[in-house]
Amino acid sequence: MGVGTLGLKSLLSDEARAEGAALDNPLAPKSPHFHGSAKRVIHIFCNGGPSHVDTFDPKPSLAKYHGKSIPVNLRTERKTGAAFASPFRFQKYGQSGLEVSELFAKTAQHMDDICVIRSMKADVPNHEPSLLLMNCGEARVPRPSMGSWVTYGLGSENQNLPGFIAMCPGGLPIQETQNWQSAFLPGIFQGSYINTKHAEINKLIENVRNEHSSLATQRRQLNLLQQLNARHAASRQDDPRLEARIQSFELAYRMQMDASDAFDTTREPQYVLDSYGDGVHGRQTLIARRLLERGVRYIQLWHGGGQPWDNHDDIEKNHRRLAKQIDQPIAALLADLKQRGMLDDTLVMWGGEFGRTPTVELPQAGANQGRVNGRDHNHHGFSMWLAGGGVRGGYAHGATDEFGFAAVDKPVHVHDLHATILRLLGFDHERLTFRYAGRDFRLTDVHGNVVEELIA
Amino acid sequence: MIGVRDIASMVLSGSLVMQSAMIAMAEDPTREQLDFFEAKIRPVLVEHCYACHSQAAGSAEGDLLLDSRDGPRTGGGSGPAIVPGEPNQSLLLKAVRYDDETLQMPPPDEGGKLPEEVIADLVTWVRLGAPDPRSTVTVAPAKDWDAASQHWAFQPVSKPNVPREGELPVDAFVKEKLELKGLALNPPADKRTLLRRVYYDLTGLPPSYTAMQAFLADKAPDAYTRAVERLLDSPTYGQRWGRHWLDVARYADTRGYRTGGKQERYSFSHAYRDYVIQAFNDDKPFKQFVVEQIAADYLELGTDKSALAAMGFLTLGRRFIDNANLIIDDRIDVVTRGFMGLTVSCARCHDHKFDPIPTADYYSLHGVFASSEEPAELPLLRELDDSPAYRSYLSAKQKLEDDIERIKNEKVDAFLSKHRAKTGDYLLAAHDAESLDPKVTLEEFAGKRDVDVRLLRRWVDWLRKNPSHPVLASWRRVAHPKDALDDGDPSLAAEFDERNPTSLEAAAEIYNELCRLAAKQGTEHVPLHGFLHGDDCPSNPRRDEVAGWLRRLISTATAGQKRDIEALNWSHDGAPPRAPILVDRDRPRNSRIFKRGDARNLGDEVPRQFPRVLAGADRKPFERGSGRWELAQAIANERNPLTARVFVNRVWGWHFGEPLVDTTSDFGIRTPKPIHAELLDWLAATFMENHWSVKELHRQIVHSETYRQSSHVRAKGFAVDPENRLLHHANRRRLDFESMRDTLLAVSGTLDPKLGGISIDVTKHPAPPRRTVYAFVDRQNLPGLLRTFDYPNPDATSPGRFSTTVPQQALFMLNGPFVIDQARTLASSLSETMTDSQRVRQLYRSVLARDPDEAELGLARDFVSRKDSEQGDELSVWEVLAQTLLLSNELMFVD
Repeated sequence: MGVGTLGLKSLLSDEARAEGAALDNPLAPKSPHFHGSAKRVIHIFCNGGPSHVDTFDPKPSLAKYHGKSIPVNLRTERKTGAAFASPFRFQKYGQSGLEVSELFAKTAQHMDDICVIRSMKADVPNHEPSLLLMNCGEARVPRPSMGSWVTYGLGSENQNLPGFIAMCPGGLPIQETQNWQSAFLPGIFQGSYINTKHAEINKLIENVRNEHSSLATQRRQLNLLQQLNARHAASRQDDPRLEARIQSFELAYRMQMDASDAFDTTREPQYVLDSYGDGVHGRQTLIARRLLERGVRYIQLWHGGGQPWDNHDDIEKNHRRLAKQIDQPIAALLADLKQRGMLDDTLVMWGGEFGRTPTVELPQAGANQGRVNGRDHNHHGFSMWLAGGGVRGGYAHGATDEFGFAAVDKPVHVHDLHATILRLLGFDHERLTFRYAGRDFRLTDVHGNVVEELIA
Repeated sequence: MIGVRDIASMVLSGSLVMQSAMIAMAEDPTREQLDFFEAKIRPVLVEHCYACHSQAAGSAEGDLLLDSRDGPRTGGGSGPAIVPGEPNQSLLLKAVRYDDETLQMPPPDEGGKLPEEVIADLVTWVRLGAPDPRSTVTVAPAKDWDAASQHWAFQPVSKPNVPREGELPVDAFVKEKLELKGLALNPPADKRTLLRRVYYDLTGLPPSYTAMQAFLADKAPDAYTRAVERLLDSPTYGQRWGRHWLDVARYADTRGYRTGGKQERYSFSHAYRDYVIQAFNDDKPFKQFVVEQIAADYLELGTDKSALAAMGFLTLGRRFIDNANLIIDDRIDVVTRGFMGLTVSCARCHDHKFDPIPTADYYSLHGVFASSEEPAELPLLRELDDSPAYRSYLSAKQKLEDDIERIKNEKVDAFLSKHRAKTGDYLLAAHDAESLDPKVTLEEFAGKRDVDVRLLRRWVDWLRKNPSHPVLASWRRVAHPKDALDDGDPSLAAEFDERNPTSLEAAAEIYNELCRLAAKQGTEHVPLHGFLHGDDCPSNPRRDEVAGWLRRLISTATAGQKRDIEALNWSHDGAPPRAPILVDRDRPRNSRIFKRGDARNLGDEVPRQFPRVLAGADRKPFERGSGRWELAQAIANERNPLTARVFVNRVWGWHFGEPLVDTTSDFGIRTPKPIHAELLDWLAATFMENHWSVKELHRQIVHSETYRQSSHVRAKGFAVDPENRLLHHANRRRLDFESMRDTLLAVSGTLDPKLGGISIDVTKHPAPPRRTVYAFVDRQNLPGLLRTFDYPNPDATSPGRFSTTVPQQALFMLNGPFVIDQARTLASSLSETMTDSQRVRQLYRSVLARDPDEAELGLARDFVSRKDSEQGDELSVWEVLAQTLLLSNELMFVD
């Protein structure tokens, strides 16, 4: 209907480059507002909330005050008590000398390519709204996710694969598929979810496996179909929609091969497989690189179902275990992208929906196991990092207070991060809009300031 | 009261200032009192105060406004300016008396202290209770309302003259505009095309070969009219047009994300869906349809309660983890955009940027929905019968409820016995807690000792109150050896005698052991048992108190049973159908404005009433209950300029593929008057004259030449009007998701046309061959199949569907087991005795409702002549041929 088509057509200059990019194909590649340094995004999402004071934001004062109360104790989800020193060792890395904890020792080898934002802040200390804020720029009501916005704005470079893919091993994060929702944008911009525990291509792209006909027979079938369609079209002038549907069958036919290939990590040489390591996270990260290489626009790698990083208890044990699962794959990805010359225009993003308190969480029946060795959620201040895609490597932006409770120096709200990412991709975040329900919606709503310092 | 910043921003942005808080006066002032106010008080306020404290001046120093009755009562940053009846507590009097150097009003440099007699009048006024006839209504600047009232869509609907005679009215309007551009309608579509078009349009299904043949053979002049009437009478009509409405109603079967494993599915969403389909089939007047969806609970219904299901329109939205204000927002949005094309939700945080909808009007509707609630038990749609199925349902439900009670008891028991067995630990912890570092909280301490802090608190209290309790005798031997007790529990004493513990830890362990023994052996063996289970024991709190502590645990442990109880509503055939309604709360109340949409930042209370832009300046607050009934009446109203226009425009769009007004759910200021504004108004006026009959509206449209013209695009028309706004040809349309899937079922002969019932899972294989309108819609995780085929986002009213073409759709057609099934069914109907040509002909007749021509016969015969199958071929060549026809553009597009 009018609304939809107008919305799509009025978007940007519609430069359909790829073959088969017909009028109706919303995934045809498009140019952004201006030249962007990043062409694609991979977002490593440590859902549950990784602790910044145990990873990328060293706070020696916590050791000094360990077990004692500190002057700052802000309201978070649950009650917390005394300062709780990080059980992890920090050290400086690279020319930049940025400090990172032992949890990400391998990733830290790339610190000179990494821009750590140590002054992130969100709005509330709860998972559900914070996940939606981080993903969709709005905490409560359905709005398109950043991946949907980016795919809407840029289309995809590969018509044989979805433009936006969300991978998560072993189930869905909380808030489920809302994390990669398209909301009022067309459904095709929604993230396609795959459970990488199985990595079945058929689960990523429904019906991509042809289980009923040989390829040869299917080719003959398509030839017949195209003959019938050509006869049908002949008496109907040049109707682009008829042509688009004809082309969509050819694309689908090729997709059956290409998509399977993208997910087949056994085609990688052994040294590459070794560098990413065994395990589901190594595999999903390697699949992600293969997809990025094939022109997929936006990928999210979730750590796992539920909220694995939500360590209210036993943070030392759990953070160590979780970081171990992804440190090597992330390091391998950064090295691999760099070696392929892709890091320059691939934006890598790491973080959770918030960080954790520098103070210890107090026992509360039903809430935790009462071990008094974990941390509560913390939206007042936390860390995220960006790498590649034109960001300023070897740079730490902003700071939390002495203890790491709240962002105090150059705070970066999630909206600011979104505005900056859109800038890196070539968009003015105030102009990437979609008319819906009487107003022009955008990812950053009425907020967001580009953080120039993050850009190289 | 509008805060000073709000006023500033509104003035700066030139947007509407409309403030209305008609709070009923608590006590009616007497005539004399009012005269006193008018003579002595108002002039003083106007002359000396308004310059800095009035909305008219756009100034509220100290956040204080004095230009309304409530202004001085509410006060400003320093609190209320007056307390009626209490001159000594009234800051205003203190200020005018110059009692306090820091608070002198009017300020010394702006007129200075008032004369003593004026001050005396003010004191008298406050003592009288500050009688004040003023209301807080501040009228918006007149020019803004004037500008708003000029907008085409806010004009009353009047019936324009049909521009020429001898034509159907629709055609007269369309031809007039075409001719202005030198264009004309296309010739009529051929009969085959026309029948197929009107079938899909009215029923979402294709005509069968037989129906097509009969129509082609029918040379009577009213053949088309009769075909239209048959389709309008068919129950398949409601299945199609009901689905259109479900897009507007943002229909789904689930509540969206919930925490704690709670049931996401709605029990009675299907009742609403079935109501909608039935309403269209019955040609229920749209006016009544509107009223029922907003306020069916107000209707006097007889034994047939089916209208109650209409209120699913309000209740079946997303639930936002039970956030009440977001639920209300969703309801305001679906009502205002869905029925009136008015984007009221834009005014949730600030006055509407474009339309004359102040935030106050949003919260007027907020009050309506905040004063409505879902009843604890939803009403039955029909009377209960004492059938075996119903009894079986009741017993299944009872079993689950018993399970919940049992689990709750188990959790409480487990908690109590676990902690009773640690009595020694509690004694020790309570003892040590007396000398706790004050910086360490008891919670933290309890955590380290692995004891429950609430029980520990009880132990600490108990120990303080009962230092000499007999059960403590043994403990004191170690804890306070100089101050030991004589009488004690003999079993403990014996154990202490034997083991002679020297540390408190060892003593605690003996208590622990004996408590465990007591738990095992019962009271006759261990006297301690009696203490542990006595009311006095700190480890034996009331069970309901413990259940309260364990609320989260119990809730998680019983989530499955609670889910299952709800699931019986759709899985058990004895479950009585109910209606998902709202009712008024016992005490309806007005809402207060949330400044900047923030519920913690409350502004003025606003009456429950209809938006001013539609109700006019003399609107009255709603009086009956929540006001939903009056809201419904104001929408379903001939005088409402939007309701009929918006609906008629939607209907036009559903018929033609393009509405007359592009933005079907936004008729606000930014929506320009459409080219066919007169046609729209004529249709809207006629619709209302025809008692809001939707079927009559269809007749006005589908009989027109405009509707019946061919879809052929001619060069001249394309050059002048490429978007076909003037309607010089019919629009070719691709089948939407429902029509696509229903068509595949219909042409393979497997479609089950049944009406109503529980939603079906269309993503599983094999799926029930029912019409797609019965698909289960999970709004939280909308299946890929639906998203791929442009199913609308069910989180908000849909202004129209997208129509994208992506290879994922083609994959469904090529490889999807659903399509393969239909191909197989089609091929299985081909008999062995048929020749290849006969078989091809039969497939063409089934799928495309026509015979193949010679060339098509040749292509098909060629195709099936290759009999040698390849590795991986599961399908016969006939099955593949049948599938190919199912994939064809001819089947998937309607000319």
